Amino acid sequence: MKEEQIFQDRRARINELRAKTERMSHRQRAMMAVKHQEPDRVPIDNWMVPEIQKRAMEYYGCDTYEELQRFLGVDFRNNYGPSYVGLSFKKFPDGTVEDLWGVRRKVVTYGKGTAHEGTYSEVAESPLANMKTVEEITAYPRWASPDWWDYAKVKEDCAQYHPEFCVINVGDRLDRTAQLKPMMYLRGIQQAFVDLALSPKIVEVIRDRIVAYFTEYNHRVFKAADGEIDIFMMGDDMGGQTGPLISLEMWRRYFKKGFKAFIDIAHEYGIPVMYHTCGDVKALIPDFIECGLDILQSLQPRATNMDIKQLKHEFGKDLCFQGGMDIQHTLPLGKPEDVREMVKYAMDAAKAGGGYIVCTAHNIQVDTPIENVTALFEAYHEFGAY
Amino acid sequence: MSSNPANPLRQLECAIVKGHTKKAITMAEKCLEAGLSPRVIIDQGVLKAMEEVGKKWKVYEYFIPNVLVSAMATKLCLNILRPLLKVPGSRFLGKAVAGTVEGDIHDIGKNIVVMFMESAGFEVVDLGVDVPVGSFIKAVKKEKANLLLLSCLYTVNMKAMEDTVMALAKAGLKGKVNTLIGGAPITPGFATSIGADGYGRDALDAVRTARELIHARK
Repeated sequence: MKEEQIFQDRRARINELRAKTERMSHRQRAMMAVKHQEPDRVPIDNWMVPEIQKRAMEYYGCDTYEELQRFLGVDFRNNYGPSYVGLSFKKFPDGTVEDLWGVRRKVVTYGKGTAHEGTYSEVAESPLANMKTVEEITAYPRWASPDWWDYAKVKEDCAQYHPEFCVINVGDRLDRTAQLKPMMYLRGIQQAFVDLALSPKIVEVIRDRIVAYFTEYNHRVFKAADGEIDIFMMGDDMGGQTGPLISLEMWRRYFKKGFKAFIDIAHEYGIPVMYHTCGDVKALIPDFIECGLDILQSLQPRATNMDIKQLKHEFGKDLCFQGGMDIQHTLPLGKPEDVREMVKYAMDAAKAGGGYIVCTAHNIQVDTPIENVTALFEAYHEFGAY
Repeated sequence: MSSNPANPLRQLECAIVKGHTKKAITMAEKCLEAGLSPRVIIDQGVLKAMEEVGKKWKVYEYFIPNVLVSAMATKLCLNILRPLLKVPGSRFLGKAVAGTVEGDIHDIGKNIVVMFMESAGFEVVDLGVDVPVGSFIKAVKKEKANLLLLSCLYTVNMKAMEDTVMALAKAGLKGKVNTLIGGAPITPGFATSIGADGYGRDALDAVRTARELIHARK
């Protein structure tokens, strides 16, 4: 941590607010909130693209990301899963590289030529896209296997943050526990949606392979973790800006069973489950609750029907919420006072009785001004106190 | 919606709404055999069906899978019917170049807009995703398009949208080509601020705005 006056001044407000409020460990605070109890302040989770991490570190004078997380009062630490020891990912002359599922990915640069330039690894080619039969799909030679991972270090990786922090087993963004998402990667987004309408047998064969993989994989992860995972996170986008991507009936038909199976595995090991989905999924929430979901993550505030006040009112007794901070407009394009107002609104709406973890609805994106990042975290500490 | 077996036009409409592609093609052919003009079949059967699909989508009766299969059925029918239109000029309401801007590979929203535009009577040249500014301008010139449809999902790529609209003006095409933009983070205010001619909140809104823009030019 850099000690020059300028950095001390920049850190002063958050340090002062934290000193006034905090009376327990990060992990205690987080787990109380998950159990719908009021801790000392609303727990904070943090999703940032690497470029914003770097900019925030420079601004606050932090030498490492861990230092930044500690300073900001982030209560959670992520575990990205076991070590990959499977087939080496094939590289192609066009620069694309295979991933866990044999999906070819390419690096796409966004914001090219601007101060906001960055990269994402995107799907370049879906290996099942042109297959027409269940037999062809079954014969696909690159189905992922739980044997491709070495689980030996999971416990140690998670335990390094204990007892201080709350550990979320998040997995990697590209192979996080899900059903529709890998199906889209393997088949192509559009074809996956068409399959859902026209080819139930193809949907089922792909889904069953995916569910079988994650079922065994997660069993092994949880067993290896030996009690050191505090929260299990899965993620599968089911919502669009103005409504669910698929109907409730379709979700029930194809995905509910697997969704519940994933939750049941975590619960067998006593681990609460957080589920990430972007967009408007309000119509699916009663079924999420029925399946035993503990925490709903994202709460994209500009999507229809995802107003946190309304969600807390309707589902707050049964579900804990994580997210609610807008990255589509307020953070990249608003002013610090808009950010402050957004935080206050969510805290007023959702913090009563516990059951709320504040976070952005997705990664803070690279086009977010640092003034808005600082306003966000200062407001977290100002309005999050109980 | 009830389907009257004696009325092939209604059956065609019903088949498209339900996403029954084979049945839709059969019924489009039956409509022709019954002596209906391709113009009537398109306007009163195919386009009406997609309007119905749009309405169902808006009230959460339909979702992306339903919309996609209905759009597929529509496209197959239009491939049969459009070449039969006697006056070539009457085949399309206008010609659009579409794409997701540079740096962005999200295309499901853009694809649905393209499908609705096509089924509403527009000819659309889809350039795909991660399309550089220069490729848009080149295609607009080559295709003699009167509409440019731009999509993006990431806020960081909204700048690429602005750059494309500016490049269009620089190429002397402002006023000749109307720009229509959309995508999750896009607002009407942003469209105005970068000098775009229109904004589509969703696929239906995009079609409505495109019609208005084309109508205003006539």
